[in-house]
Amino acid sequence: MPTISMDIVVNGDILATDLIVNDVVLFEAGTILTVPRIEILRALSIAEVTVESRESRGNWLNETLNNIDLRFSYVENIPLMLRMKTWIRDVLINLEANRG
Amino acid sequence: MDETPIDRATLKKLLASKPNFANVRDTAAPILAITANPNATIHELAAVIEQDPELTARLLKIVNSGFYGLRNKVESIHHTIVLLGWNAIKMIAIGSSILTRMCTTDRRLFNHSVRTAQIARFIATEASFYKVEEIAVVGLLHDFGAVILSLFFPERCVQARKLATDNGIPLHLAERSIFGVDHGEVGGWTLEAWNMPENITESVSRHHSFDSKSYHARKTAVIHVADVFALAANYRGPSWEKVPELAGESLEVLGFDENDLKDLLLTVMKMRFDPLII
Repeated sequence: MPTISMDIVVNGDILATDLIVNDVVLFEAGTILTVPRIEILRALSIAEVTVESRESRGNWLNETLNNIDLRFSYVENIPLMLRMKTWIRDVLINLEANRG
Repeated sequence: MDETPIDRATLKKLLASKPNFANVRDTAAPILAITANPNATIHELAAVIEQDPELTARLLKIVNSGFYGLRNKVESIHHTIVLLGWNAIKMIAIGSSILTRMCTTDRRLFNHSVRTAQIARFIATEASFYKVEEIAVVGLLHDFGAVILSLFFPERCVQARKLATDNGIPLHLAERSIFGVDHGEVGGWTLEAWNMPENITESVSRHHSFDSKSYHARKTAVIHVADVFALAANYRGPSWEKVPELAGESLEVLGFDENDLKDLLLTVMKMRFDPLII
């Protein structure tokens, strides 16, 4: 879990710990740092963040997809819910594929 | 362990017997009285709120938090009432102590409530609702009943959580086995006991038992869809927390089709969930 400067954060980095600003959790651990979120952090003059190591990203995606399967397990036989699950999985898979 | 099913009358007695809840009722009573008067003015309501410094501070904190995303700081209760609307003020007057408790004792539930509120506001806007802020506050308090259950029946709540985990079922179904009712109904009864309007009590009561024929089906549909979206899009949430079924009829009631559903869900996934400071 490296702590890195905001200067080298890239689209798709994942927060490894809650990001707390003025005693308030601004982003929870597990949040994907997309371009708009990175801009918000820069606007707030955040100097550095702790992120998941980039080598472990593949694990992160697999763990997240497995977690989605578990969370949807009660409704896995309902076609509409199955499609919802697929849309969510596709967003994450595409995000992973397009990372910086 | 007591296995008696909970009903409206039992809950009403419990609420009356608990000093903290008597305080909630007493603090909110002047606000409930003035908001029930159709001839009351914003100035009169502001004057009543300003007599309670704690509530005044809390309302200003909420309206100035990231949850509302306002560019300019709101410094007056008068302005807060205009922005939030009367029913939202009533809900916060009643619910603020519950939210504070939720924030400190059950962070998962608190975060889910904030997410549901923001999603409810978005869906209500897309469905051309007029009072979107009121719906956002209903979203914020939709799981009010879960806090009530944990306060009065902590052991049975642990049992319900275990049942849900062991059987892989959503928590509201486990609650129905343990209590005879789910947290939605309990929340609705509590708000009913505090004289909240029926459109709000029904949205809270029926968010896990959507009925398209009910009188306030459209507002209930927003809360139901927002609740399911908040759980579905929380892909890093605990694995025991199961996503419940989305009632297809709720989409029809809101005038959405499956393409709209997909667009709404994908937008929700891009949302930044602003912290609510209370």
